[in-house]
Parts: sequence; structure tokens; C-alpha cells
Amino acid sequence: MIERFLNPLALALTLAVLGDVVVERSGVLNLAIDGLFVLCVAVTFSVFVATSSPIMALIAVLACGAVLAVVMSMLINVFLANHVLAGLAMNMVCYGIATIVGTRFLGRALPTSLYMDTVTIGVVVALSTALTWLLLYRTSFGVALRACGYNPRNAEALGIDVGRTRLVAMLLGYELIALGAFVYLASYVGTWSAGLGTGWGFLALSLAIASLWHPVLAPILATSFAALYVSMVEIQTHPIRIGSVVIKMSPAMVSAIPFVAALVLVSILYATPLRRIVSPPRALGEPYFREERTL
Amino acid sequence: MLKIVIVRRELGLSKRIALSLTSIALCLAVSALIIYAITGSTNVVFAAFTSFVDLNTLRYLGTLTVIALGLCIAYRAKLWNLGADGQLVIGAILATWFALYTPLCSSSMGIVLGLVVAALGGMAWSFIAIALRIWIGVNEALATLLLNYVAYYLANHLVEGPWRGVAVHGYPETDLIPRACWIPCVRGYSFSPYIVAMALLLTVLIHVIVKRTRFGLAVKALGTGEALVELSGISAKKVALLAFLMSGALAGLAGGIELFEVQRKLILGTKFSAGLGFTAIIVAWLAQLEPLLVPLVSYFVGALLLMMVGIQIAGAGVGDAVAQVIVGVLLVSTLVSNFFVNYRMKIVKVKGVKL
Amino acid sequence: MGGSLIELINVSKRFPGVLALDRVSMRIEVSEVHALLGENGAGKSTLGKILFGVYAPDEGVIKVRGREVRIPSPRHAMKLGIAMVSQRPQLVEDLTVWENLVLGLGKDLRRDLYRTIDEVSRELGIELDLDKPVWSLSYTEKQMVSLVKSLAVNPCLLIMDEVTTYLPNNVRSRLYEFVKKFVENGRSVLFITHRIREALEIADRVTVLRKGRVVATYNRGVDIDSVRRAMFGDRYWNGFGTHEKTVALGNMVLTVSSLTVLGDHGEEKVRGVSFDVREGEILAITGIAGNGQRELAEALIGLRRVARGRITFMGIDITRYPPSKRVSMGMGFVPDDVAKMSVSLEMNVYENMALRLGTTRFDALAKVFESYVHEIPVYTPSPKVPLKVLSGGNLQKIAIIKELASQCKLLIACNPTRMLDEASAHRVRNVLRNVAKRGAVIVFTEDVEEALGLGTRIAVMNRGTIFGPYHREEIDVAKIEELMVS
Ligand SMILES: Nc1ncnc2c1ncn2[C@@H]1O[C@H](COP(=O)(O)OP(=O)(O)O)[C@@H](O)[C@H]1O
Ligand SMILES: [Mg+2]
Repeated sequence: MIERFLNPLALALTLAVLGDVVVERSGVLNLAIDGLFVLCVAVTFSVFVATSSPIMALIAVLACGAVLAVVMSMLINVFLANHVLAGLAMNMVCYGIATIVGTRFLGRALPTSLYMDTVTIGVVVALSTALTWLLLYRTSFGVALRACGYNPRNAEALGIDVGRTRLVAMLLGYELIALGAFVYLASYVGTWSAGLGTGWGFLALSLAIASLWHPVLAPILATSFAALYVSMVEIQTHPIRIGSVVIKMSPAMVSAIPFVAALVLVSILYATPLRRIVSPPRALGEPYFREERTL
Repeated sequence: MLKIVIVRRELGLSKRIALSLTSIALCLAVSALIIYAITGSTNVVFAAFTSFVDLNTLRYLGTLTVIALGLCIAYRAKLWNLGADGQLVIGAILATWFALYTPLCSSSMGIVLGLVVAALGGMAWSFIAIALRIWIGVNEALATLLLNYVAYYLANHLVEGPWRGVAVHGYPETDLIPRACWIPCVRGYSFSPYIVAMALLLTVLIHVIVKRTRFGLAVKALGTGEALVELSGISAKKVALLAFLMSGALAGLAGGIELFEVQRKLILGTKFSAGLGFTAIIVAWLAQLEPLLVPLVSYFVGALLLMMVGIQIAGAGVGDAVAQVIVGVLLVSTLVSNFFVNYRMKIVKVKGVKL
Repeated sequence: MGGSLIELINVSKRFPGVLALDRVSMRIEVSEVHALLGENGAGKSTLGKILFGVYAPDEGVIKVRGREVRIPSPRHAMKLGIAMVSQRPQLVEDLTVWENLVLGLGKDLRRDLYRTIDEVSRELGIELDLDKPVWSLSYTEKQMVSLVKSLAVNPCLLIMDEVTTYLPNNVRSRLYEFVKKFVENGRSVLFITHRIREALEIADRVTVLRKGRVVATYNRGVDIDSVRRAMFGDRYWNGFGTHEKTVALGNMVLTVSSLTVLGDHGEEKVRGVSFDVREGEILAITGIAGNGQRELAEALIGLRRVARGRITFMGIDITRYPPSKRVSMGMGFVPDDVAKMSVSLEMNVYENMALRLGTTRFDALAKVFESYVHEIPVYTPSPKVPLKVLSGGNLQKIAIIKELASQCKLLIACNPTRMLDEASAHRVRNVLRNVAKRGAVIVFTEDVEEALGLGTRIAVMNRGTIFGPYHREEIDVAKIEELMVS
């Protein structure tokens, strides 16, 4: 039972969700997560195949995350771009580059698959969760980061450099997401085709929202979600019978289920008063310009 | 130490236009470079740029204009409909159903009826997102993005299963729709003058709605905040609903157009939409959400898309991907040039004084 | 005094449509309380924010102890020894008091924090619970947190921007003492205020700002009349105007019974408030900001849900109606923040009018607008420019004109004169009196004298409950101030 929850997909998703939590807690709406995920998946694949070295692939994917974090942070913090549009633009660029990068090695197989056992996955999930929680709630940088998400203007008046804090938050978050993409490809999928990973970034984003941007709820949702998904894929190959009813689904329908589930999950969480418990990053997605007129 | 300081500024009209043109020129230069890097031939680059004087660009003008007009309305209200791609696919699915599984399309008003069905489909799909936003508070950008995938997979499910054509040799496609449902194209080209005319008419119509009606003003006011609309005595929920449904309906309509004018059969979801719903988002913003500018920008962006089709045929194999990159870069450069229209950047040198 | 601490030379700052500071030069000396005096919109806060690194000046030079400096952010200002406390506490409400205090502070500065907290608590006579979230504090407590925070960076210049406006009297006078002691050992205070008496009482020197220009600098002991002339120019000013004889009261317009309303964090901000308003009346509701006025106003117009109780308008129970329905029934609302709720900065005057009045015949709207501009002068470069180029005061006037033109039965106005200069404020008060002749008005104001000058009845809000309404004859400034802080 437990291995159903602690599968490689769960680890990938947990890392991506935690990364998104870090980014969005600083007030940056992270729609670029999907492009980032897809690009990192393609980079992992290409470098892994080209060099046969998982370490090189890991370094490449982390570098990719860092570059994107810097670019996005420029767009949002310096050029005061609308968060939605900036995210969308980055997504398009990343999807395109991912296809271009990956297509050169299309059809090649990974030299080795990175197998991870349940215990390793469990440890990594627990560790990354604990570290994210410590960072956000037990360090002074974490307080500054959350302050930027609650109210960047007042945070700045209290002596925070909002631009720099958000840049660091994005660097940390994007690296987590990049790691998630690495695990997704190297330990879960193991092969690549154009567009691989598309939509998983948005799923991670939905799970982050549904977990109220709290690092402890995030892995719970992410692992349950992964368990659900893996079970659905099994139903596809082994239809289950309940009495005389045979539950059987087409591959396309199975692929659609996570998206429906994510939407339902977020809706349920928003419909209940549960969301009052953890204070959300109120300034999420608002471009912050210091000289704006205030009351 | 150097620090960046940002202050507001007011630019004159001529300078704003100059800035926009610069950013577009920069973007074209980048595109040329990318094409050269991939194909390694200046001839291909020159050939590619002939798409700007190719009438086939009008095929994109029609579809992009229709979608982007709707998005202009939603975005003016600061409602983030990022689901035009999915709404387009749902429109196409319903139009396919209409053409293949009802006898109605051979009637005299068949095509018009089919387009209406497509628009209703897109509208219904957008309703899910706006309903969640209005009554539960779910971010509509996220909801529309997720619903895109549901729409793609729904199309995939249909063409891989129940609707797979008998004459397609196992490809994931439906059969061709009956000829009565084809919107005829100009001989030798891939666009229909009727669609172009309809797009231009819609442009005028939306312009009037946006600029000359109280609803249009309320839509813009909704962008400032719900309270402003409510305090003006207008129900903000109704305005939001209507604005969003209009954008969904127009995206659905575009799905019908793509089916009847271009594809003439349903194929896999992402292939069918080819990202047009996302490209239209960029069109809407490049046009500064001004309906009258939308056809112009659609032509420009359409030419870029056509260019990529040309390169694809030239054999690079990744034409779509390159198109995506270029359109994305175009949006980035628009964002940056918009910044320079409204703000000035000063680099100041700070001495590390400590008292 | 020991020479100059801060010097501004020809500092200018332009915002879209206004020159907020026009070649301002002034000097703040070591160990002085320097008051910056000027009416609303004179540019006082702009100057303070430039020194605190919030705004970047367009031109001019700033020197600290004779050295030219750039102040690109508040963080840098703090490093230079400049700190600022504003009228509205600039704190992060979702964090605790302690988190707000340590935010951005280095280790060395944190060590002295407890001592600073003790010192401020002792001087002002208020205790702080460091583990409470800031949103649960009262206004005075929040201001105290702001003060502790700004002292924690060991400032040599403390900028105080209208900090006393909403403080209860006893805290206010302790703060004056604190300021005087603060400057004793080589530190200075820039005390920003629009109250002449306050400036003269506390300051060693006073600089008067008018329309972004320095008009005069006085030493201690100047007479109040010359300062007033410098501040307002030759404009005649007679305070709050006069009342007409008591008007006959008409039908009941609004009845509020046992209203309870929740704040942003689910706490009870309005507790069991009841009152009614008749035709011909102006009900002025006053109190220190943050005692539930905003929540009550929003509940009356429907922007905030009512937890318990009933609101009846013209005999109809409207407790659950959305604002749009209340507005179409004849209510009008001028919010605190007109730029967010009452006008669209992207649209021009006529479009804004069209939105409210429901007709898009712009020529007719132009006539309506003209007719009101005679009563309340609005300065626009042209009525066709988007409102974002107008100053805050003009936005406020347009918001009021829109509501007047709608011929509403009940006008609810929140601090309608706060952004206005005295002459305009005077005209707006007269217009409100006229509205009361054909309907009713509820004015929320933080200015006690305005409440007394304007209201036919006056109520005081304190911690969510309401005292009164009292008839004007039953109450005076002293009584109101007592109720405000009791
Ligand atoms: N951030 C801003 N953006 C645009 N205009 C502003 C801004 N801040 C102040 N102003 C304008 O500058 C002028 C001076 O404002 P301010 O310094 O706040 O005055 P004071 O504090 O003396 O009341 C006003 O006309 C105001 O509307
Ligand atoms: Mg001020």
C-alpha cells in the first residue's frame, strides 16, 4: 500500500509542488512552472542520453532552472510585467526550446534508469518537506519571503529588499521544480517524446494552491494524487469489475483524469472555510511598483 | 554598488509608436537569426519573409481575429481566460458532431447553424471556469489552463475511439465532414473571403460594444475592481459572466471555422488547435486590447505562423516549436517595450555609507 | 545645535499630472525637531518618502552630514540612519509583532531590540504582546510597533508623517515628550503635519510647503497668523461653515438594527450597532480610524457581508442585497479609496459619469458635469484625458460629483474631504448639506471638528460599538474625544 503512495511520480510531484510553494509564497504567480517543467524534462533527457551521466544531467537541469529563475525574476521584478503574461510567454518559449532540444535525441533510450526504492523516496519526500518548512517558517529569510507575498510594499518599508528576496525565492523554488522534472524523467517515465511533461507543471501549481501554499499539506496532496494517477493507469490495462459492471477507460480519458481531479480538488478547498486557516500570500500575482499611489 | 531605480514617465504618442516598432523589428531580427541558425541558409530566411505578402496569411487572420476579439473583452475586465485553446477544441468537437452525426448541415443555413453550435460549445466550456471563479473564487487562469487539457483529451478520446473514421486507415481522425459543411476557399488559396469578412464585421461590432455601450464601460471598470462596477449600480457578476462567455463563444466559433474552412475533420486535440488559442492571447495584448487593431496584429502574427509552416516544409522538422519560441519571444518583447513606455529605469551608484 | 544633518538642494518630483515637489531646498540640523507643515496635497509625504528611499527624486541633491547620497530603497535609508513612521502603519499584518520587528534587521541590531521595546512601552504607556499577529492589534499598538521598528535601526533622522492624527490624546502628548527627548542626544526628527498648532508646539523650526514649494522657514516663537498665511496663501478660510436652522425631518430612510460585521480576519469589527437616518438629516460618524467605521460603511452599501442584524432602506429589508441593487434603489457611496472603488483611472470624466448614470450620450453628460463643476471646481487638463493624470483631490471631487448627479436618496461618504484643500472641503461640505435637503447623508469622518460642523446628529465609534447618535447641541469636542478613546 505504502509503495503506491511513495512512487517516483509522487516524489517528482512533491518536489515540484514544494518548489511552487516557495515561489508563490513570495508573491510571484508561477504560471511559468509548466514550461519550466517541460524544458527541464527535455534537458534531463538530452544530457543524460548525450553524456550517459546522471550527474551531468542533474547539473544541466539545475543550471536550466537557475537561468529561467533569473529571466523570470527580471521580467517580474524589474520590468514589472504582468505575472500571467510573463508566465505564459515563458511557457511558450520553453515548450518550443524543449522540443528543439529533445528532438535531436528522439528515439534514443536512457542508458540507465534511475531506480529509487520506496524507502529512498520516503526519505527524500520527508526531508525536502521538512527543509522547505524550516526555510519558510523558521528562518529570518523565510519571514522575509512570506512578507513579500503578504504585502511587498510594507515589507519594503520594514527594510526588506523585495526584488532580491523574490529572486532568491525563485532560484530556490525553480531548482526544486527542476529536480522534480529530473526525477519525473529519469525515474518515472524513462523515455522522451515531444511535449512530454506538458500539463504536469500546471498540476503541481493546482496542488500548491489546494494545499494553501503550505509545505506540510503539499506532499500529502502530491503523494495521494500520484497514487490516484498510478491506479488509474492500472485500471486502463487491467479493467476492474464491480459486479457485472466493467470499468474500463480509454488512454485519453485516463490522461484527462488528473486535470479534472486537480480542478475538483481546488474547487472543494475553496468552497470550504478550510482556507481561512492558513493565511494565503495576499499579494500573489500583483505587479509591485514602489511609486504606486497609495491611500 | 549599482542599484536599479524605476520611476514612471509619460511618453508622447510618436515615441510610443517608435518603441513598439522597435520591439517588433527586434523580434523579427531574432526570428531571422533563429531560422538561419536552424537551416543555415539565407535563402530560406528571405523566402520565409515572403509570408508577409502571401494571401494565405488571411487564413490565420480570420481565426486569430475572432479569438483575440473575445479575449480583448475578457482581458479588459482583467479576467484571465487562458483557455481559448480548449474552448476552440470543444467548439470543433461540437461542430464535428453537428456535421457528421446530424442531418442538419445539408440544410440551407447548415454552416451558420454549425458555427452557432460551435460557439455555444466554447461558451459552455468557458462557463465552467467563470462559474468556479464567481461562486467559489477559484483562479480562472488556472481553471482555464486545466480545462484545456481536458478538452484536448476529450478530442483524443473521440478520434481514437468512438468517432474514428472508417476511411482513415487507423489514424486518429474522423472521416471528412460532408461537403455541404465546407466553407469554400478562394481557388488556389487556403482562406475563405466570407470568414475574413465576418472577422472584420465582428471587429467593428466588438469595437462598438467596448467603446460605446455601458456594458463596454462596465467591462473596463471591472478591470479596476468589482466594487467599482457594483457601486455604479451594475451587477459585477453579470458583467464578468457575460464578458467571459463572450470570449468563450468567440473561441468556440473559431473552432467551428477551423473545422469547416481548414481541417474538415477532427484530429488530435493539440494538433487541431495548433496553439492558436495561445497565439491569440498574444495578438490581443499586442493590439493593446483595442479591437480595431486586432485584425492588423492578426495579419502580422499570422505571417509569422505561415513562415514557420514554410520552414517545416523546408525540412527542419521542428517548425512548430520554432514558431512557439518566436511567438513567445514576441510576447516577451511586448512586455518589455510596454515597460519602457510607462517607466524609466535609472541606474544609480550607491556609496556604502554607514553613519 | 551642531550643524546640518540632512540637506535637500533643489529636489523636484513629478507624478503624472502633478509636480509634487518643485525645487525644494531645506536643511535639517542636528538635534532639532523640524516640522514640515502644509495642507493636504502640498507634497509633505512625497518629501518624506524621498528621504526614506520610497520615491526617487527627478532632480536635486540630498546630502547627509555634508556628503551627497543616493537613497534607492528604504533599506538603504535605514543604513544611512533614516527611519520613517507613517500615518497608516506600514506593517505586514499577517506576521506577528516580533516578526515585523526583526524583518530585515541584522543580528547586531536585534540584540538591542528588547531594550527599545521596553523604552517605548515605558514612554508611551502601552504594553506589547510580541507573539500576536499584527492584524489583531489596535491602531495605537500598531503605531507603537512601527515606532519601535524605526528606532531599532538606530536612526539619526526619524521622519514622522502625520503620526498623531489618529492617536488618543494621552498617547499623543506622551509622544510629544518622547520626540523632544529623542532629539536631545544628537538625533533629529522631521515632523510632518498639517496642523499648525501641533507644529508650533513641538518644533524648533518649521518649514511650510505649499503646492510643492517651500514658502517659508520659521524659528520657534513665530506667530500663528503668519504661518497660516504662508500655508494657505491669501485664500479666505472660515473653517467648517455655518449651519442652517434645523430642517424638518421627513420619512425614515435607513434603519440599522443590531448590526454585527466581521473584519478581514474574521474578528468582530462592528458589534451590535443600531441607528436610523431620516430625510433631511446628516449623520456624522466619527472615531479613530480602525474602530469599525470602514466595515460599517461597507456593510451599509453591501460590499461586506452582515454577520447578524438588519438593514432597512426605504422600508425594504436590504440586508442581503448586493451593492448594485442598493445603488439602483437610490443609495450612493463615496469610499475612502476613490481610486480603487469609485472611479476608473483608465477612463475619462465622461466615461466615468456614463458608467454611473447609465447613459452613453456623452454630450448630455458633459452638460451635467459642467453644472456641477460650478459648485465644486475640478481641475482637469481636459475632460477627455484619463483620470490617472489627476491629483487625488480632484479624483475625490469627481467621485462626489458622480454621486450627486445620480440624485441618490441616501449618500454614504467616507472621509469625503480628506484629500481636499480647505477651500474645496468647504464647498463639498456645503454640497452635502444640500443633498440632505432632498434626502439623507451619512458621513464617516476622522475629523472631530468636521463631524460637529457637518452633522445634524453625531455618533462616535469605538471598538466596534457606537455611542449616540447625539444631537449637535448635546455634545462637544471634549465629549467626543472622550468617547473616542474610552
Ligand atoms: N505615488 C503617487 N502617484 C501619483 N501621484 C502622487 C503619488 N503620491 C502623491 N501624489 C500626488 O502628489 C501630490 C502631493 O501628495 P502628498 O505628498 O501625498 O501630499 P501631502 O502629504 O502633503 O498631503 C498630490 O497631488 C498627490 O495626489
Ligand atoms: Mg501626506
